[in-house]
Amino acid sequence: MSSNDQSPRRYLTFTLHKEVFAVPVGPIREIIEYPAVTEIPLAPEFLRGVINLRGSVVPLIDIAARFGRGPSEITWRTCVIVFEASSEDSLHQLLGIMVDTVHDVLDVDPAQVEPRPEFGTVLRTEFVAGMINRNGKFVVVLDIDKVLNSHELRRLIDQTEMNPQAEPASV
Amino acid sequence: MIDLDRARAALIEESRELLAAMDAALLRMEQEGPDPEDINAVFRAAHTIKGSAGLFGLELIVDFTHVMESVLVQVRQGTLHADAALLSLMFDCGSYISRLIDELEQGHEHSEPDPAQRAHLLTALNTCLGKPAASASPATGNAPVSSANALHHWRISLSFYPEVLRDGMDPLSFIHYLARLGEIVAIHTDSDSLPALADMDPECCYLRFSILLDSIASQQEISATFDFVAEGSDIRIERIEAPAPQPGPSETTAQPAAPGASAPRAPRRAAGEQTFVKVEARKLDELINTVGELVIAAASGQLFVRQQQFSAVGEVMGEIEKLVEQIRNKSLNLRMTPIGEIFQRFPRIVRDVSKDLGKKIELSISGAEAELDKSMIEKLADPLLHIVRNAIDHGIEPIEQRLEAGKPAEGRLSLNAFQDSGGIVIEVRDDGRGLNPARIRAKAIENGLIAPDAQLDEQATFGLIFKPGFSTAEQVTDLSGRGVGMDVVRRNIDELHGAIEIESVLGQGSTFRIRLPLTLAIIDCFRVMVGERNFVIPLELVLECIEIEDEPDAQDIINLRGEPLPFVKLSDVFGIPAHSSGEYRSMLIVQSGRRRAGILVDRLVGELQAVIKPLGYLLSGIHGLGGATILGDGKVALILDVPALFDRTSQVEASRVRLAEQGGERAPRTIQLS
Repeated sequence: MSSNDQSPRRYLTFTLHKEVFAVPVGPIREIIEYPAVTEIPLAPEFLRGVINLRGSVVPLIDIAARFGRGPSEITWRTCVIVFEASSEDSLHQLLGIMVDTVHDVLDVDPAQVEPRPEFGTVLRTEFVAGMINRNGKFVVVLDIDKVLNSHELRRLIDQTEMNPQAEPASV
Repeated sequence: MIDLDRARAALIEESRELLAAMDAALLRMEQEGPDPEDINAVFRAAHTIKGSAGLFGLELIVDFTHVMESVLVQVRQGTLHADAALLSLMFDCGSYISRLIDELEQGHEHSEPDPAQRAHLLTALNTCLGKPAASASPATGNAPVSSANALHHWRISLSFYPEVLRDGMDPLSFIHYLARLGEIVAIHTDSDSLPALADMDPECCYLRFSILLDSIASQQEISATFDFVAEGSDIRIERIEAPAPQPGPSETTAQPAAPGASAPRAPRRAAGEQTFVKVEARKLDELINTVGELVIAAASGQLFVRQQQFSAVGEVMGEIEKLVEQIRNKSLNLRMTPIGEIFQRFPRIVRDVSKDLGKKIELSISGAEAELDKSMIEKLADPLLHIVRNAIDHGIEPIEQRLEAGKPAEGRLSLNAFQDSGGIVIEVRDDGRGLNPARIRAKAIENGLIAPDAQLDEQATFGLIFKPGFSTAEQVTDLSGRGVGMDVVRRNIDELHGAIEIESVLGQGSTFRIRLPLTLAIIDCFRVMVGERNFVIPLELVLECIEIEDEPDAQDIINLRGEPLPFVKLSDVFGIPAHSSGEYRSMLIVQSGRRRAGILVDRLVGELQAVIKPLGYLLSGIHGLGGATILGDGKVALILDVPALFDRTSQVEASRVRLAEQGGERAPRTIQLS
């Protein structure tokens, strides 16, 4: 994130296992209701399956599982945020992440975004882009490029696929 | 700039087509004797390439094709006879132009790929024209041939004095005279100084001309043409490096010779994806007609809705659905190109290669009308070329050896394409010496590709020739045998989701068989279910479906009409929890290449047409899944990649067996799926 730009940035906040997170709205394509999901055989837990987004087949990532917090439960408030994966590696791919609830969009002054702490967020620090100070409470800003890094995800998927005994496919 | 690039791409494409047409015409003439129609075709090709290249100021091409054209004009007029030597020369010229086009595609439009060849060809062409061979001085770098009577481009600006007509001189006659000195490439009439009609003196000449002339005449010779009118007229003659795209009307600003586009350009996109698809007009018309019908159907649907005639709406919806399906099929069909597009290059290649090697080869081509996705055709060209070259170079023996072996002196090579079980098969068959498994084996051991004690069946041995760094040719020839190529062939075919098989009988010949899916976009499928999950299997692979009443035993082999048939349980392979009500289960018998096996599922649902959706980078590493498709209810169903599924199963089994017999040297595969 460029720190020179002083105009406010917009963040979407959502809940995941009762914790509030924020992501910049830039890469978000849309937010949809939890759709019918087709499971992928031999996939790791965080890969819920694929969904039909108006004719495109889009992988659905359970980021709570990706963060090692176990699979998310599906409730009537469960949503899917569809991201356009970063184009830096020219792999334009849509990816959906499932979240428990979507809250609102915040306009945040760049000055209000604190750098990420060394530890204490319970997440891998590389997944954290910073913290937003909101009424004295800190909201973790996810570095969505890191969280949804295609190469990393692919590596994990391939690993599970080659070695299905290591992780019994759960339904 | 972008438009220019596109125009250049069109030029490249067009030139290649013309060269192919030229080759075809030359080949016909070589076999059946000169024919005016074929001579015209060759002339047209040279002429059109020259014209198009001229628009871009590609002097290397223009200069060369011009000389070629001069020779062809004489052939057309009958002053020169199209004998074998001339045809051969024309073949070489064609190849040379094609190299120039290649350079152009790479963005090196002013670089000379082979000065020696150019000089040689120009000398030969000029000899045909009866000109002293001296004109073909060894070309220096990429400078145009520059000797005293070499061909130059001239820009001539003519502003006759207004009274010229009164003096009894017709400007047109001067232009006609110029045509005798060389060729008028372009002529532009400038009528800017034409006064209003009322002011015009009908006996005056107001017109100005600018002319591009290609001539071997010197400047004096050209200016001598205008001696009679020199006084009072403004006549400028200048030599230019390359013909400018258009002789501009502003010749008063004496431009220095157009420098061409000498600034080095950024390298163009690597010889990559084809940007144009040539579509048969009939196909496009059909599509447009169907879209028209759809528009009408939609309008009537809307009308019925407005009138609240809902039963009629249902009918119209059915119609619309049918049309949409037709449109989908027709638009996908637009990408289909006959494979003849690459086959047509081969007569020429076979002719050249066999000539070089002193072999006699009869090429037969069949099935050129079989259609394939355009992008696949492009990617197929190189591997096919390599296989054909190999067949001629290594497969077919020299004449003496053939006679000794009791074969006809003329080797036979056939290229054949046909549709087979939903895919397309391309065969390259020769009646040469065939592959020698012992020699391949020895070579592979020598090159360290396999262990000396490796056990390989015949197919596996033949498969070694696709390994990088493998070559059995004792003599490295110019054409093949450098040990690069066959591995590239394999890789290219893999990229197209194809497979390659070799059949070979020692002493009798070999057949390379490439099997490809028709298109990567749409397939007929069979839908099955395992538990609550949908899977689809390409229909062309399904041989039959059978019901199985009792769970087969642990052996994973069933008895199909007396034959043992291995099978896989989809639920096991994909780790899907066993279905509780599994008393009746179904099995699909599928065939992929030479392998036949069963796939055990819970339920058969039925056939459907599936538009293949890619799974994307994330999921492309999962073996056994070839893509996804969207079912009528909007759910995503996964498409099985049957060959990969079998491979995976045999791997898993092999590792299981290996685990079981810990300490054993090599685990034999328990499932032999052949």
